[in-house]
Amino acid sequence: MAALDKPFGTKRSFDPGGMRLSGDRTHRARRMSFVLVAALALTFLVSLGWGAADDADVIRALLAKFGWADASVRDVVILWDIRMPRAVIGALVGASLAVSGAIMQGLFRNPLADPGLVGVSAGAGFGAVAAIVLGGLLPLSLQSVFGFYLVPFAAFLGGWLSTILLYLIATQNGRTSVATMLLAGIALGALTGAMTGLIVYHADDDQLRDLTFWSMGSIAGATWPKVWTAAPLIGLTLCAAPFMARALNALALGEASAQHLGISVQRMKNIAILTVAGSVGASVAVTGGIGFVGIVVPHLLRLVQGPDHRGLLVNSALLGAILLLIADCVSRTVIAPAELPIGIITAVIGGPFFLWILLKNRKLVDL
Amino acid sequence: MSLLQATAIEVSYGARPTLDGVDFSAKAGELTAIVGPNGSGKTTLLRAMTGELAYEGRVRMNGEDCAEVSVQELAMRRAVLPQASRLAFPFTVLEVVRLGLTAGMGSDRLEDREYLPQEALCRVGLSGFEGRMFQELSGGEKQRVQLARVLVQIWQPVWQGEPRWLLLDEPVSALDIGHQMVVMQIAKDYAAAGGGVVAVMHDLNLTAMFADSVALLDRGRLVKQGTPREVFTTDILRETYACPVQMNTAPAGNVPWLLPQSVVMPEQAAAE
Amino acid sequence: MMRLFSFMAACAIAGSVQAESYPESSAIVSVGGPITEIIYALGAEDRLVARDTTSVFPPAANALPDVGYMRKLSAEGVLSVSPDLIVARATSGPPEALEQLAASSVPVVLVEDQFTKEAVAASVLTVGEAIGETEKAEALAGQISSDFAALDADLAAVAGKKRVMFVLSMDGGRLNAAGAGTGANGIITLAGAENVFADQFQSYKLVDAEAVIKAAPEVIIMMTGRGDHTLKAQQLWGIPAVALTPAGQAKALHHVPGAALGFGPRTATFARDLHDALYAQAAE
Repeated sequence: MAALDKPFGTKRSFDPGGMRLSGDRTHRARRMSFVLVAALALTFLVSLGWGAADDADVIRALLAKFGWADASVRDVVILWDIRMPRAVIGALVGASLAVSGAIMQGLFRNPLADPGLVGVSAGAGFGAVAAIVLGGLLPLSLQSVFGFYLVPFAAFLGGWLSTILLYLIATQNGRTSVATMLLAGIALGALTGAMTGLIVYHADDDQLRDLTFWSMGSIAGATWPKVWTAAPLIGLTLCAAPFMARALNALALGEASAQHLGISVQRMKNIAILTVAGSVGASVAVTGGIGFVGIVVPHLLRLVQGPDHRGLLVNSALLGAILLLIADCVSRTVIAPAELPIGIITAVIGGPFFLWILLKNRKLVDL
Repeated sequence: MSLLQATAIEVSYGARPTLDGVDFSAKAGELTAIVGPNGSGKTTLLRAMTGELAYEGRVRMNGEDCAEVSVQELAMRRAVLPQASRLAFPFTVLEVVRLGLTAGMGSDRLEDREYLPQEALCRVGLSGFEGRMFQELSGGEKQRVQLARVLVQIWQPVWQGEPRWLLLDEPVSALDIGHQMVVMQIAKDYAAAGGGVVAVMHDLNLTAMFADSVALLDRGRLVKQGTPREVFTTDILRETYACPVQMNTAPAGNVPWLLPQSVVMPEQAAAE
Repeated sequence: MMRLFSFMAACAIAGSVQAESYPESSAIVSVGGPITEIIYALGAEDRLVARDTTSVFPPAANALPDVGYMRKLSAEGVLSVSPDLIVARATSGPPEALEQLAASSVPVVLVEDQFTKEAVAASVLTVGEAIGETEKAEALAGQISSDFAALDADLAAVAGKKRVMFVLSMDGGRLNAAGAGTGANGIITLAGAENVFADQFQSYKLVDAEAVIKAAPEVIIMMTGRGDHTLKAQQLWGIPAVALTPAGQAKALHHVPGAALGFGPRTATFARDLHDALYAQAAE
């Protein structure tokens, strides 16, 4: 009880002696970041060097782009117009999904929360289905403006709009209730599901096939225009994420306590929900639905480095990118020359993992 | 003006008023307790003052209207200990206490910040608990970790020439008597060092021992605010708590000491 | 119970000439585009009471009530037109609906789908047997066989098969191409060309961009239909991998009608049209 006598002064009663405090896990996050950066670089290179056209001289093609070597047009196209945008989209989408998952889990204070909770996936699915089935009814001039990008654009719009709608429903007197948002999300999901079903009912044979492939998700068809359209939205979230870390940590204590710690909780929610809706919407738009990355990646990292969001968000982005690049390599090669949609691979890995988390943390599932 | 002042506070859930025009004030340098029977509005008053609940009326801290001060500014000047400890993710004790540094102004000297969490843990008697998982602690330990976090947030009781405020919602409810004394003594010391402390209390004897001022609430109204000796009288307490009490004086410190008597149920009284 | 057996029997022998015969039937439901075409070709259209969504040829068929999409039949919907015979492609579904139909008092004759010229003749005979028009069916089958023989004779004159990729869809820049066991593969083979993915995979699959480059198709075939053709062509040549192929450099794109993918009485004509289109392009 000697401590009782001390004043609340700033005199130190400890000599830290340069020792690391027990309970301090920041060094683990830092070490993990180094490992992940190296691993990401490696996976990125592997996905550039690995493909069905294995005879392409990748290094020469890489140099040729800058005029440092001569390479065949074919090799340059394979590297720069096929593999490169695909790897970039894979890394961006993986990072976006994992970071968005970590942010949503922090915001909803639930390790099982998913970006889909803010209504993005359901809305995006509806948008895509509507575009696939009803897109042909648009005037030709509009069709030529959108080209391939009609479906991605509609998916993004659908995801974004449904998030805004949910957000408006859950916000009253300037306060957003995450519980309301969650429940309204289920209702809205059922509703868009029904409308999607109605449209699907009118789809013909090949539209149905398009729908099936879209819903399973794939990075196939990645092009530079897709990179340029998705990158700003995803980049925004990736850049904003580190600034949300402190707030998300404080939110672990509950909204009231976070507010008392100096966090503008409502502003935080606005930023988090809107950026996540944007980047997940963009991800779903370019690749279709890819499940479980947003849940598995942050959870895995929490086991290793603790839940501190300052390290968690950055490392989630890195690990998400790595996992999606690996999954994409598998998707391209396992049944080559055909492709297994990447959503199947992440679901096959993620589904059982998700169940395992669920069974291990039954008590954490209480809302 | 080193006061925490709430004037004409009204809070209602639905049509029923929970607080009905309560005036309350606390002085810096004192420990002010809010007491009252269950449902009298103690915690509601505290939550109105912290801004957690929407209210009518005004809350002023050191002369400034709290509604007009930004969240960040408020966090530098006051800290709030919640009643229940919730934590969403498996943080360690050290990580939880460090959350108190979020507003970043525990101490003027930046280099102190690194050691504040340890100081605070030592203060609440939890040295050596840094590496433990918060979620695995007992209820009383959790409450003390939260107190350490709150202390870290406003470690210096007087900052930039103004007192800082420690608002505690039933700080000793989950503690054994030894730790009740530790926590109450910390609150008392904080006030003695120039800070202001407002605590919602349940235990009237503990309140009498430590509080400089007591506000007694009943059914959403302030019954009386004054020193424990002024407020804790046989008549007032019997009226408010519907329970006869015998007032004594504790030998040490000359504070009131009360002993609740067996309750006479209304129908029994009528029968007699 | 007997009906279930007869359904299983129908499954087992469908496609062979020993199919059950119901010459007395006067209220036939036809499920599948080719089946409807055959029934019209056999002159039995006045015995039809309903068709499925895929039966759109000849145009007169559109006037019949539609019982739904062939893979998503509802037993009750089919029975609501009170048929006394159901002739359906073997790939119709769902199986539960077929089982329910078989369990009702209505005979179901399943006609096997295969994408070969022999199968076309066989399905004509099966349908003919089922509706009791055996003679006309034999004549039609003979006609079809001789059309194919004539086509084969022309094919023999062509040296070197064209390498063809059939693209079912390319939404979002993802190519969905035909492998073995598809109508597209069948018609390409009949037209004397070679499907580049025939020995790589079954059915329609998403294909890897680099695999397309490697497969090096000389011509790309798509289905006539949805959307604007010039627009679709622009989109197709805009895909980097496609642009690299011989087809992409020559901008060799050809469309086939959707009906060409379901094998029926017109298949020989479709195959000849495709053959002419493919090799005329080469001649230019």
